[in-house]
Amino acid sequence: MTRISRLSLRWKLPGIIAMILVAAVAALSALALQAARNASIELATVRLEHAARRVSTTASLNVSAFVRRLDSLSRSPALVEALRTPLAPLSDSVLRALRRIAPDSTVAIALVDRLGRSRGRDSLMHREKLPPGLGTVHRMTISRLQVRDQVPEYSIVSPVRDSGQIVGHVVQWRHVTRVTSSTNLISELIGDGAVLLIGNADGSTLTEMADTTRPPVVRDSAAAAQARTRHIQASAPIPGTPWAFFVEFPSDIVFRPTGVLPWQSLLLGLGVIALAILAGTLLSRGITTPLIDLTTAAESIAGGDLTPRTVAIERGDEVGRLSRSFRVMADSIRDSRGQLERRIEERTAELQHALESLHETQDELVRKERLAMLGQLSSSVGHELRNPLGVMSNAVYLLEHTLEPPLAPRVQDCLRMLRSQIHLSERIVADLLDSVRGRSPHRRRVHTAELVSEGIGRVTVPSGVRLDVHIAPGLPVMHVDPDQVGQILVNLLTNAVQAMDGRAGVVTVRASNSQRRIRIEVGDTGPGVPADLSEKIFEPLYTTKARGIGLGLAVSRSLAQANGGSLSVMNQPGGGAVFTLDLPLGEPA
Amino acid sequence: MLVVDDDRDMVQTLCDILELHGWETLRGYDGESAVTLSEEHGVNLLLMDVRMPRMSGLDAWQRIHLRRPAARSVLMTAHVAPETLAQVEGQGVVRVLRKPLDVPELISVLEGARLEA
Repeated sequence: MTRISRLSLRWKLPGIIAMILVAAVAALSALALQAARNASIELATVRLEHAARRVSTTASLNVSAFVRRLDSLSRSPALVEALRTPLAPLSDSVLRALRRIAPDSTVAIALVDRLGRSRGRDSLMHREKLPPGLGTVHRMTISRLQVRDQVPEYSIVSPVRDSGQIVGHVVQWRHVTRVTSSTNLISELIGDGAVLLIGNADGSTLTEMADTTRPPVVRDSAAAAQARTRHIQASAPIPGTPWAFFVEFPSDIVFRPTGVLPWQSLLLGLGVIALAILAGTLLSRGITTPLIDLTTAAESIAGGDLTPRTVAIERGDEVGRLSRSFRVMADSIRDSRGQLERRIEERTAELQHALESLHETQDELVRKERLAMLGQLSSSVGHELRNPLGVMSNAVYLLEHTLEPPLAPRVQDCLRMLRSQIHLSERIVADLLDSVRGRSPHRRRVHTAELVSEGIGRVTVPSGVRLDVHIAPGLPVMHVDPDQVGQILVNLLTNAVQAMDGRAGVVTVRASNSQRRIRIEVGDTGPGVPADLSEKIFEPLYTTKARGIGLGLAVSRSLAQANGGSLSVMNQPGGGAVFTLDLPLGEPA
Repeated sequence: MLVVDDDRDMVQTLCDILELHGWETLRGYDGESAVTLSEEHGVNLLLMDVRMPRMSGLDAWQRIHLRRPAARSVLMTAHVAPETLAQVEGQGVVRVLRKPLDVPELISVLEGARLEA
């Protein structure tokens, strides 16, 4: 499973940059420190060597002075004479001469004959142990430094000659003494902390010249090793001797100037980190801020809001390109969703329309079904009623013609009532059968004005009702079944008359035409049709009249539709209803 | 004159009326008896209902007309359908009358038919 870093790019980027820079600064600082130390060491070493050489030169002059004095002593005739006579005690003059050349630092001085016997018993003269191989020394020799009783000392051996023959030697033992001038010189040349040491050229028997203790302490090997780790050393051989001067200087003083370097590096590093974080933050903000904006916008799009805050980053770089691509993508999503929504709306509207038309068709089918059933029923009932009516009518006729006159008025009344009611029943049956006659239309070209006039002629208009007929001149022919349209007109006119309910009023018949239709309007001045019943009245068996079976309008609408027309009702502004019958024009001949 | 209807009261009243107007009448109550009676009695004029059980007036009249082409008839029906008229056209049917019958009209139609028969 991939581990997902939750750290924001905004912090990650400057962090990485800072870390890289810190590492670089640390590495550079370490290198610089090392270089500085090396340079310091080199510089100090050069200075120490120079100082050591200067001190050596001075020391060499001092040594030369000793040597010269000893040489001149070894040539004195009294000394030669003393050695020529081995058994005679040393004369006072010889002793004085020997003592004269012995400075403070002289430990002992001895006059040794050819056979290696030491002459004299004076404390200064006495030394139990002579340097080895004394007999073979042919010229002035300065020995290596040696430690005796923890004190560094050396010997100078000068041969004494008589006519070229070596007759004995003068041996002088001396301590290493502090030379203030040399240490001062070193301090002057190098500064406080410098240490001047003298020792054999190979580094053994090192003795600190500035040591104020008496006798001076010889450095042992452990101290020497410790000194080497803490100090910088330089040496210079002292000419005419097997010795050398060593100059030491503490490393920490040498490195003191470089000591601030780590702190400076640290400060520099901190500054670099701050700069890096600043730069990184600015850089990452330049990248992450638009990224965050884009992310927010993308999330809001994912959440369904297709009009997020505009992501407008006008930049020429990749972020700018990303932003532009994002905008284009968001627009395209919005467009396609808009299209989708529009399409869904269209489809929904189509479906709604289809559903409505399906409902209409279904209603129509149901209505037709009901009408057909009612038609059958009415037809059967009508036919069946006509037989008994016929019998009754025959019977009345027989009664009227067979009863002996004069008839009692009461009988005459009864006969008249029978005749009248039979006639009425017959009318009802006739109307019923007419209204449900459900045959398919035989359409043909029919003169509109004639058909309308004929329909009007078939309706009995009571005396209180005025008939107002407006037939537009030159109406085109219709293409309908004249019987069926005639029946519609009779139904509408009968209804209009009945709507007056016995009161006075006006029935208006208006016939006109448009480009494609003939319009016949039948209006009355009755109470009108309540708005919520404007469709209901076209349903079979629905009636508002006290008498009637509620088939007239249903049948009329059905017939109008069968003939390619329509029938509807509206209330007139001045009161009363107006039925509008639209019918198709006749096909061009 | 043969009067045929499946309604006996109808036949009765019609016969009474016709006799009142001086006609001699025979009575039949269905299509088959109409055919038989007209055959047996050599009837030349019939007043017959169209709708009857077993054999309709139209069928009965077609048979009678085949055997006695000179005979004439007046048919009665509750509803005068155009197809009915088309079916009997040119077959000796003088008229199709709608029930209930108007007696004066019936008498005049029958008078006319007697002249044809």
